[in-house]
Amino acid sequence: MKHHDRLVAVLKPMVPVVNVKGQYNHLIVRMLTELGAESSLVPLSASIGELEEIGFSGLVAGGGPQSVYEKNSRRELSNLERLLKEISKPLLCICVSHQLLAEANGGKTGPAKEPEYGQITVYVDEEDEILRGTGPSFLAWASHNDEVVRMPESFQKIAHSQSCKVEAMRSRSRPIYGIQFHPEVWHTTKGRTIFRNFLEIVGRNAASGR
Amino acid sequence: MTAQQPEFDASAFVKSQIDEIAQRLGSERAIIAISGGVDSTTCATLAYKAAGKNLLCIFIDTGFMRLGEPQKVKALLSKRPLALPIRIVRAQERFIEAIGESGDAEEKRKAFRETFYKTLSETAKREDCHFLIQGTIAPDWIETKGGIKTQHNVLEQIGINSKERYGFTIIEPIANLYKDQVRAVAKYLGIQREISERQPFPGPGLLVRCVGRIEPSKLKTLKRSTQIVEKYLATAGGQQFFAAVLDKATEDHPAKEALQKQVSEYLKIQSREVKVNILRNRATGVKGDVRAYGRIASVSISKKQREVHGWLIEKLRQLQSKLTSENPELTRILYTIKEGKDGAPYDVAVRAVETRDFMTADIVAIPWAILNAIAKEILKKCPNVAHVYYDLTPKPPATIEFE
Repeated sequence: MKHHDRLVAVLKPMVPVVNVKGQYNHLIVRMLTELGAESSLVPLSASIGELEEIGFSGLVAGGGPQSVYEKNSRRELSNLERLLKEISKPLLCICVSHQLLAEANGGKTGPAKEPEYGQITVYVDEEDEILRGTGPSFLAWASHNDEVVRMPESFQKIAHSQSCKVEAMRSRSRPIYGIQFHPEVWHTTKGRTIFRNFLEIVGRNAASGR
Repeated sequence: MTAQQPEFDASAFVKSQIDEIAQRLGSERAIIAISGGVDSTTCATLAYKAAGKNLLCIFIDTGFMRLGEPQKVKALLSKRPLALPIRIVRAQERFIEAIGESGDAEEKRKAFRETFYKTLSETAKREDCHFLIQGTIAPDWIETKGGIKTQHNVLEQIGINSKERYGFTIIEPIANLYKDQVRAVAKYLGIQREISERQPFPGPGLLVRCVGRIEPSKLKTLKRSTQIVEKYLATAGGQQFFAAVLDKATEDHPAKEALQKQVSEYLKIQSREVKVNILRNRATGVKGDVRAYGRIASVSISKKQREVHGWLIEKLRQLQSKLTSENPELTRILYTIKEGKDGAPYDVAVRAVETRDFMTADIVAIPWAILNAIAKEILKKCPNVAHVYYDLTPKPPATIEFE
């Protein structure tokens, strides 16, 4: 990347949102735009090549109605799964994408014993980069029937709730994050902080020229 | 706009939209159906600035309006600064006939949408309007596309060709905005606070609050209850507050006893002083991004216990969360405020939520004394009501409206 391009990416990063067909995907675009990034929805079929063409410097994958352990759902999400494995830029996976991220890295997703709808309390286990400024706990909004039942070994758990063990996780080696609740909705009290943190990670990553 | 959204620029938005509408219309005529809500009024104001006399504003009286609404809206919008010329199109009988006996939420919404566009299309053809301006906003198409519920104003996003079917091309100037952004645009345009801050009223109106089958006396009960709820909650009700009417009928559901036990244990109130019912009507909800046309449970505790414990709002909020999490079929939990005559055919539910963008919503902790006063007045003015409830369910797992 040339110096000028790198500067642009740091100042106004392009962070597209994969539309996994959940209700809140468009709210992620709104949130990122309000925080000064450029963003738009891209379809499930988007490839790394296409993302590079629009000059992306980070990616968010939203929630959706799928169950990742069901055959048809998995087929629908197969391209996204490949994308999650291939990507080398900062990545934030929300809800169903968080569950897919776990599966893609050798973890496991199953039906939740106690599904969560509406308000939950998230307990922060590690205030790493993505959850900086959110601990020790905050109120969030969730809507999920499934959950990550076994986390991939290459990931670290960073938050939980009373009924869900993995509310958030991060890769041990790369800027890749999974979040089960919905930081993009208004009722999640620290949602804006989380996206701001993510954009900072994106900015740093672009500045380092990766 | 507020400090929360520094990036949204209402003035730039207005300028670009007026230009775009003017460019797309050229010298053609356009029609817009106004409801008096902030979305359609904002669109009409933008379009009027772009098209002037080439814009025809109509108000379709579907019969599912609140008492006196068509006249009120017309008077308000014809006044300066908007000075929009409005024509009322009466179509009550058509809508009632199209919806007929159906008690299913989606069937009702689809029949409404079809009648709405047919009525619009006839007027448009008569008046030689080849464009329809429409106040669709982001949550409308997101919910329709996602299969959560059929919004009355969403066609092209789900593959219906409006030009072929109804003879007009649709222009949607605010389709990417959320409610709070629309309000910012309205304010910028000088639209009266009475409209810019008005609580949203769904396109199909009272239809989606008249749960199950439509009956004249049921609709009348709803209109009266709506008036009462709006009167009391105008200052304390969150962003949206309203009444819904349901059939009193309950189901002999196998889960009833277990639910009763769950509630009694959770509230630490003896089982015989707790009553849980599963209503026959269903309500629209959304669980994990999937539409859930689910069961409604009503929870009552004895009058004596209600006095002892008072308004257990936090406890009940958690109870709601537990019940809807552990029982996949349940999407709505109602709590009895007051009982009326046992033999009465209907129940009324009071709902009040706070929300920014209508994508998520939390219930409002209305003081018990106010709820009591509302219930008392509803029971007095509507003798065919058996229970008045307060809806304890946030979105998700419920939606804001019942259907």
